[in-house]
Amino acid sequence: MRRRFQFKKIAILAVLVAASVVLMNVTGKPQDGPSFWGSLFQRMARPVSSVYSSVGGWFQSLKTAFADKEELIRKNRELETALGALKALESRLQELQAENERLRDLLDFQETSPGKYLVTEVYGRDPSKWFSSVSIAAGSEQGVEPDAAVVCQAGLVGRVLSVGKDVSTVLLLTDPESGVGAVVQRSRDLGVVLGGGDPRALTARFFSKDADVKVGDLIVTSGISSKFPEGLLIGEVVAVRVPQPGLVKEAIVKPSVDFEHLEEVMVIGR
Amino acid sequence: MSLRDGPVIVVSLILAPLAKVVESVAAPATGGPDLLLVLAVCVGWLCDPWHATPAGFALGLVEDLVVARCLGSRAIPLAIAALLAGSLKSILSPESLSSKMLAALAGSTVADYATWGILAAKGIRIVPLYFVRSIWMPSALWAAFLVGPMHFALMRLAAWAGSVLPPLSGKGREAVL
Repeated sequence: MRRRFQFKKIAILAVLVAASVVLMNVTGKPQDGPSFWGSLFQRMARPVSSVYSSVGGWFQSLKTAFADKEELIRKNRELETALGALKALESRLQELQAENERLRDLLDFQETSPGKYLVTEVYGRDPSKWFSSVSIAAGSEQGVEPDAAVVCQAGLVGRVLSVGKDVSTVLLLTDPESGVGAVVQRSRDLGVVLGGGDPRALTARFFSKDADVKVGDLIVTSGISSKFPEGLLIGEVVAVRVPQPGLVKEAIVKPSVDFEHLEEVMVIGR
Repeated sequence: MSLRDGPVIVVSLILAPLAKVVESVAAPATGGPDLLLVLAVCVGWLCDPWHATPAGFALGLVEDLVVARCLGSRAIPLAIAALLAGSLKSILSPESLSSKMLAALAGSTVADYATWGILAAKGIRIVPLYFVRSIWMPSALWAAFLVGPMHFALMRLAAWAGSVLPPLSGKGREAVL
């Protein structure tokens, strides 16, 4: 009886071992894809998994956001401050670059034109809209003299009207009281360029009514007056008026200088 | 000078140099307002015309002295503008803003053409097109726009000055009146 029971135990053990070996062999076989049950499970699990992932991710980001809020605010402030400083620096750089270009042009002008030049800054304009003058930061102490010609890289600006100790007033070409001896560069016809208040237009009156002047001609100083050296550019003819009987020929001249944006000028020494 | 006109004229004369500084620093070179002109119109509107006229002349003289190019070229026109504004007040509605704007338009037109004429008479020729486009029209429009706020400010300041300044009394008041 006892032997029979032992045989049964060994038989059960052998069956279980055999079954294990068979199962191990079956599940260990490579398959082309997931089984039916595996596939069904995956299909059922996918939406749940994605919802879980989304919710988990959202909670995770929320947690991170709350945890890093102070840090982010601090960093944002730092970045905004740095950006502001960079913008200010960029603006300053652009300003310096523009100033550098203007001064380089003035230097080129000095090198190509003989004479003594005093470079100075324009710091104010005429307090009246009826007249056109500017104040410059140089006076008798710097060697500025009354009636000295004032130029910039673009051409003739005007002449010194009054001189103070370290400031002077420059009468612009556009002033209604301004008059400059001029010549048409191409034909050498003489005339006088008068200001009329308008910063964008001058009037050239020629001594001869048969003066040879055309649109596009350049008008330069004649040098006849002792106030202005010869050959300084005044502007370009943009219109010619047909003279009435008994009247002289006139032309409208667009000044070469931008009188509304003068920043640095040069006073020509004698 | 009446007791009411005195503070207005004193305040306007104090404001005149300040207005000139503001104008030359903050306003554009061309097409900007003429604050002294607006001030003269306001003085004309607030005071008796014959008190406003010398006040307008003084305001114009401030500009003439600051510019120092052609004395009288603004003094006379601003006196005319103040007189005109004071005269128009009796015809138009004194409290209406549109009346003040009309007076400002008329005052600036007369004053600017008078200045143009005075300068031309002295041989200072301003191109007509430039004068109309860049001097007279902006000046008139600015005057019409600014006369309301300037009138209000001048009235308030004059009222304050009237309460602060010692009153004229006795023989002095009678002599002045």
